[in-house]
Amino acid sequence: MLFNSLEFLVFLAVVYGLYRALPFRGQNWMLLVASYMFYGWWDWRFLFLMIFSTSVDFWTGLVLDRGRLKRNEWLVPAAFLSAAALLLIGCDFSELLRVVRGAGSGAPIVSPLMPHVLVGIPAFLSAAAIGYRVLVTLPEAQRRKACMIVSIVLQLAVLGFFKYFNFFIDSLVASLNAAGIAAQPSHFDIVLPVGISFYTFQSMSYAIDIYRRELKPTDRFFDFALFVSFFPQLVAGPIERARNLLPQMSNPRTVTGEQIRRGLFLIVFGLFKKIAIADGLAGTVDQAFANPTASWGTVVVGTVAFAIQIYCDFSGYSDVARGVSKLFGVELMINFNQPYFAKSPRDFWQRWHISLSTWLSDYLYKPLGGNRGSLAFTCRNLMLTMILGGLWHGAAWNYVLWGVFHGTVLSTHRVMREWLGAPRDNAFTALLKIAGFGLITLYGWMLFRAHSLEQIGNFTATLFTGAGGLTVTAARPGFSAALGVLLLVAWELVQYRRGGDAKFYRGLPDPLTALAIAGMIFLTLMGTSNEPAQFIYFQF
Amino acid sequence: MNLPSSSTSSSEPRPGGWRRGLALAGWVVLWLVVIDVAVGRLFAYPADPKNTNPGAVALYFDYGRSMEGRLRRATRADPAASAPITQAGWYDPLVASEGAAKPGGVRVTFYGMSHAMRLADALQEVSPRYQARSIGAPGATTNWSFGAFRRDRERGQSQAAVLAIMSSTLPMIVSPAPMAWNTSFALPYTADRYSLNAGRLQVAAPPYDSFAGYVRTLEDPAAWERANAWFAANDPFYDRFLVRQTWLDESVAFRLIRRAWAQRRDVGWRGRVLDAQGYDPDSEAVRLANAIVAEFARQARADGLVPVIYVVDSFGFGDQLHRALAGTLRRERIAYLATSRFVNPADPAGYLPDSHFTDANDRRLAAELAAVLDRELAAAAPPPAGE
Repeated sequence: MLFNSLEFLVFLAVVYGLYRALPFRGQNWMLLVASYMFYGWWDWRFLFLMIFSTSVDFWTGLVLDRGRLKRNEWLVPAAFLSAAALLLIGCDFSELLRVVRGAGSGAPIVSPLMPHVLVGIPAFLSAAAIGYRVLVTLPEAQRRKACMIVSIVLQLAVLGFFKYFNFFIDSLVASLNAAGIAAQPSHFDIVLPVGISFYTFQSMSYAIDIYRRELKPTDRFFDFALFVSFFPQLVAGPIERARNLLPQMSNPRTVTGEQIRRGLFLIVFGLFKKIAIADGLAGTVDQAFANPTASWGTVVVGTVAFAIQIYCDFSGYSDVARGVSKLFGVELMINFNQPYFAKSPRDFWQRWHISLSTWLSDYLYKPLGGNRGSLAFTCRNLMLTMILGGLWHGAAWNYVLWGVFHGTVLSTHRVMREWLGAPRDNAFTALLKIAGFGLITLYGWMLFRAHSLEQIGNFTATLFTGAGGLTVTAARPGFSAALGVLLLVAWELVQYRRGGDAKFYRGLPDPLTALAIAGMIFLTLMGTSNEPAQFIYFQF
Repeated sequence: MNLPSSSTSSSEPRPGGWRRGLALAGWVVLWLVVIDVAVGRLFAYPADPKNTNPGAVALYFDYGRSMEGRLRRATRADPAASAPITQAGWYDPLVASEGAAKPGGVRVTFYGMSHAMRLADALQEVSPRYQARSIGAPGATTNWSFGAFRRDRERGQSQAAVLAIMSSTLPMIVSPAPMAWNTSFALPYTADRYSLNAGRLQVAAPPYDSFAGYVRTLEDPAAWERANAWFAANDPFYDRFLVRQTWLDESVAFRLIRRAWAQRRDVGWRGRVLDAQGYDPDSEAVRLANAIVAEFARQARADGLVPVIYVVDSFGFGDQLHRALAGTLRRERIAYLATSRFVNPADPAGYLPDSHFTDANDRRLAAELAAVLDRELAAAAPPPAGE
């Protein structure tokens, strides 16, 4: 279900109506069911994976903290997981009815996965029970370490299989072939579950924080399940931390008028960015990057358009997610803070996809040693973090290259700062830095959007040789996008001039604020006739 | 990296209150009305049906007007006072466009949309042998083109007949009324509605098939109601919300919403029938397309014509249409020209911004068509006496 769809509007209206009518516990139950429905809209079967992830980290949290589980804490998730496994079996009810009437077509009524599920789930639960018995006999330090390792291995195994298996097989086969060893690629037909990287990271952070004794676990399984699956941020973030979101799931919430006003504004602003701008630029970007003989002009226009598209697409999603959450009285973290005003690579990662960069910083960069060592050691850590950050986006070499590129840029900036110090900015140097780093970011987006290393090579050569000149062969941006970009630039410039305050508009006279909002709504209506595109970050 | 704290939250001060919120909402609504009226006035679509160049912005904001509203604006009882587009595509009379005669020329008639007309012009230009005759309608789907072929009394004077079919409008082969699906232009002409009954092609004629019949129907509320009821029953694309005129037509914002609704409907249809990733062989459109292609070839051969199918693989649709028809073309031994074999349907450089092929590509396709015709005519020619 897309935020920019009629289905979602209806879904939200129904869920919100029920939410306001129910008491706190009822609200949580209803939100959990709604979140599973929201996710199951794509494919019910993958709910099982999310519930698996939820159960594993719920158990992990409690075993890490207390060393043992109460009876219910073991049984409830196990029963829930077993029930979710039924979704994998599925049932073709129309065929079942035909069979009952004696007119079956011979099509299978249940999925061929049934035998695997019937064996696999009891096997997994038995293994978990045995593992638990072994764990609780270990001394605390060993138990905690072993428990943490099992949890991380299980989470990463699921993520790795669904997201990276074919990529690694392909890469291995290519390496073997390059070494003169004949090998044939062997593929599984794997569908990437929507949002798996987001909820896996969110769930993992909960267990790791408990391991570090920075967080106490919850013993309410369904509160934890809601923390993992809360629908506004489920499929494309922000990747929330348990210490921020879990208390909001566990305690009664109040919805203030301010939250409703700000929430509605964020929904309008997010949909404006997504529908009017990002979708309006999609055709231009797609055609530019589909063109095997793109000219210099086409590469530049396509890359600039993509930089705007991905920002509006992703930050638009985050805005809607935060806005919808506010309507439920839930505060999510800010995910974007005017990233194209960044003056340095470090500044950029403090403004772009903040929930991922903080995650990588807290759970990867700092455990690797962070900047607590020599300059070379810091650069190594930066590089490793950015490569894994690139790979998080997808199983393809261009994402790895994008990570290497940003790792190099960050390391270079670090070295230069070390050698040259950090000069004070005036308005002119600040502008120069924004423009200069903007060009670097743009090249990074070209790497990110390209669909092969060959295309990266061709486009890079075109950029530096100017081949094909200024001719542009790509669809013209939608009318809504052209006007929308102007409004967005004006909006962001004023925000930047006012110290980056996202709520600067409150200081403006009401008629002026209302004019800008009405403009956004009107441009969004114009954009509704753009071909609706899935949010780019859903694929990650 | 010194990244910000993950607990960054958006909790905020709370100025104002409900009163300010309501005032702001009131201002937003007021501004929306002002923008709606201002855009509607500033970029008003000209009322004169003869004005064929209203400007891109006026056209943009008018797209979502109801079809009935647009047709009424474009139509006058006097054909000369009506918009030129209202005159196009009628079966009665069927208008053919003839290329200049060539000495000893071989006459080839094209039936189809603008792509087919452009190919006919290109063939006329590049070939010293073939003399192009074309019968077309803007955005014509293959049910229209086959209906035109069946009604063409002069078809026997040609040596070959070319029927065009295009991937982007394949789903609309089930529609007898372009006004039900073509949201870009208000097209009043009608087409035959074909259907399959136990594998046999059946045809239902539309309620009117001439300009005069259309004007009579439009001006008679009862007849117009009956015609709409017929379209609603026979045309899966017919949507009362998109076709019938209401007072909301005057609102630009409402027109934008209606336009989005139409786009959404079209995307859904295309996704169900055929896109760059594949096609649904069981869909009515694909089954009808194959049946029409086979029937066209049978009837053309019965008239002594060489049948050729012009398969237009539109930009962004891959070669799926070619694949969808390949079985029938092979089984019935029908000659064809599939554009995806010569113009990459993923490369925008091969197309004009309005989705037609570039002139160079049209000439290239025409040369390929000439080669196909040479081969087919040679194969169809009676053997020399004495053999």
